[in-house]
Amino acid sequence: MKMIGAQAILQSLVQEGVEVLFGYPGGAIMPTYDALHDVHAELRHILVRHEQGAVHAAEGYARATGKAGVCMVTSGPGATNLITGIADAMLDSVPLVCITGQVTSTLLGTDAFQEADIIGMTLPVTKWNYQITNAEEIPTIIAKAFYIARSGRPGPVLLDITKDAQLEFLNFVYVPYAAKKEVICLNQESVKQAAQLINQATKPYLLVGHGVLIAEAEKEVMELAVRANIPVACTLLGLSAFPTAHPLYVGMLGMHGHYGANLLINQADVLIAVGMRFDDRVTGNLARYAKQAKVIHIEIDPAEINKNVHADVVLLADAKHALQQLIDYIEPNQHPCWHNEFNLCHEVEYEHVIAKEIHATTMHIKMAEVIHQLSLKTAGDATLVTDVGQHQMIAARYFQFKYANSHITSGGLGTMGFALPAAIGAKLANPTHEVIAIIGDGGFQMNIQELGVIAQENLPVKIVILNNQYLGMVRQWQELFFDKRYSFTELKNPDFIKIAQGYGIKAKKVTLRSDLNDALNDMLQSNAPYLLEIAVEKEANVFPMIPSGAGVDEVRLF
Amino acid sequence: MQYIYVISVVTENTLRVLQRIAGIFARHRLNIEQMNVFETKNKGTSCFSIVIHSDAKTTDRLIKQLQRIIELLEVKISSQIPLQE
Repeated sequence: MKMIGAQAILQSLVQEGVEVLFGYPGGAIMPTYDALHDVHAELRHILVRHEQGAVHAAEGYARATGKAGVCMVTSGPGATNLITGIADAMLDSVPLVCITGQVTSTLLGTDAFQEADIIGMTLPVTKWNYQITNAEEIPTIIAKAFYIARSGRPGPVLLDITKDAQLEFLNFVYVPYAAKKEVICLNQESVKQAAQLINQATKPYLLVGHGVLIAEAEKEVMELAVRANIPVACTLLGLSAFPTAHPLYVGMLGMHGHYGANLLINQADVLIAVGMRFDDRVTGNLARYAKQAKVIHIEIDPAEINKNVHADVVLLADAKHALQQLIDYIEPNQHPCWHNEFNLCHEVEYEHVIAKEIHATTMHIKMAEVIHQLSLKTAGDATLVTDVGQHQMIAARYFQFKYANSHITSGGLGTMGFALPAAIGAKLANPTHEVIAIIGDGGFQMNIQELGVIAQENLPVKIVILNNQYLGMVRQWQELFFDKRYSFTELKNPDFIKIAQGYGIKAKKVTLRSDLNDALNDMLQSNAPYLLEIAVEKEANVFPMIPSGAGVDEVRLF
Repeated sequence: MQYIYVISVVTENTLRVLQRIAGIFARHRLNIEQMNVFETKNKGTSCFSIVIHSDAKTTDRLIKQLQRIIELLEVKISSQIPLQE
C-alpha cells in the first residue's frame, strides 16, 4: 500500500502490537506527528512535558507489561534528553524502542539546526541503533528493532529517522522479523550436574533476580523452592517475583537488604542464582563473597557468566526453560536447621531494626511506617513505583509484594526523577490497577513537570512524597563516612501541595501520625489523581547496611 | 600477566559497527595497538584484526561484550603471546 514514511512508521508500530506511545513533537518529527491523526483509534499517544519523561514513561510501561515501551521525540535536544532513560533501560534490561526524528539526510554532518549525532551518542547504551534515511527501510528496520528489544536479554533500541525519509513515498508491506541466529540450547549434562548439587546440598540458597520476571518464571521458581524447601531471596529488581509473605522467603539481597538474607550467603553450600548478575550492590566485597559455596548460575546473557562471581555450573538459557528442565531432576528435601538460621537472623533484625521502623513511637513519622500501612491497606494489590534513595530502600524492604511486576524501580543506573513518569507508564499499562508512586522530595522535583501529563490525561496515579527535606541517602553517607559534614544535601522545598493544586491535582499534607491512617485511606479510595505529602523524620538512616568495601557477612544493623 | 592478543572479528559491513566495537575496547581502557579492517570476498561481510595488550580476565570480558553486538558474526582470540616488558 502506497504511503509516506511517517505513515509507515506508525503502521509498523500498530503491526507490532503497540497500543501506547509517549512523546513530544518538534521540527524533525513533525511529519510523523501529522500522521498520528490517521491512527488515533489504534494508537494512543501521550504528550509528556520533557523527553526524559517520555522515555521513563515508556520504561514504566515496559516494566509493568513485559512489552516494549515506545517513545517518539524530535532531533537534537529532544533526542539527547532521552539518553539518561536509555542508559537506565540498558542497565535494567528493559525493552524500549525509541524513535528520534533527524534532520534531512543532506544536512547530516553540517551542524544543522537541531542536529545531534544521537546514534554516536547512544552506541554504548543501546542494544542496537540505526539511522533510517530511506523510507523503504522503515518496515523492516522497525520489525528488527522490536525483535532485538524483546529477545534474549531485553534492552533499548534507538531508531533515528531523517525528515526526508518520513516524507518519502514507499510501498508499505509489513513482514515480522525472522531471527537468523539459532535458539539457545541447554546442555543436559549441566542440568543434571546442577540438580545433583541441589539434591546433595545441606544449605541450598535460591537467589532470584530480574531475569525471573522477564522470563515469567515465577511459577517455576516456586515449584523448585517448594519441592526442595530452599530459602529464597530476591535482588532489588527481582522483588515481587516471589511472594514476600511466603514462608520460604527470607528477604532482599544487597546493600540495604535483609540481615539474614545477606549474612547467610557466606554459610550456604549451594547458591542457585537465577536471572541475577551478582551486581556490586548485592555482593559487596567480592573477595568475601560466598567463597565456600558452589554456584549454579542460570543466566541468558553469556557476558554475565563468570564476570563477577565464578560459576561452577552454568545453565545458559532463559530462566523459565532452564528451571523447567531442572525441576524434573530435583528430589524433595527438608532443611530445618538451615531455615532456622534465617529465622534467628530475622528475629535479631526485627528486634534491632524492623520493629522500631514499622511500629515507630518517635515524634516524627518514619518512612517505613507509611510503607507498612500502605502494604496492609492494599494487601499487596498495587504496583509500587519508587524513585531513588532512602525511600526506595525502605519501600523495597517493607512492602509485602504479592504479584509479579508489582515493584518498579531504577536499579542499575539509580536514576532520580524516574518514578513520576514511570508511574504514568505503569498506570497506562494497567489502567484499572492501583499504581502508587513513592518519591523523595529530591527526586520528585527532577521530573515534577510530568504532573502535567497526569492532569491532562486524568490518570488516577497516587503519588506519595516522603519528605525529609534532605537528599536522604547522600546525607546518610555524609553522616556515616564524612563526619556529618553535610555538603549540599539540605533542600529548601516549595509547597508541593500548591504546585499539585496548580496542576488541578488533589493534594494533602500530613505531619502527624494521628492523621496518617485517614490520609492514606482517602488517597486509596480516590478515583482521581492524588498527591499525598508526608513529612517524615529528617535525619533517619536506613539499616541494615553493607558499607562500601565490606563483605556480605559484615552487614551492619546500626 | 599481560599478553599481546590478536583478536579476529567478523561482522556485517554496516555503518557504525567499527565505532561500536572501538567503543567497547575503549570502555575497558584498551588501546588498539594495531587494526586492520577489510571487506571479505563475501560481499557485505567485514573482517577485523585487532591487536591489544591486556590480561586474560579483561580480554575474556571484552570478547563476551563484543558478542552482544547485533552485527557481529564471529569473534575469537587468534593469538595470545606473553608480553615481554
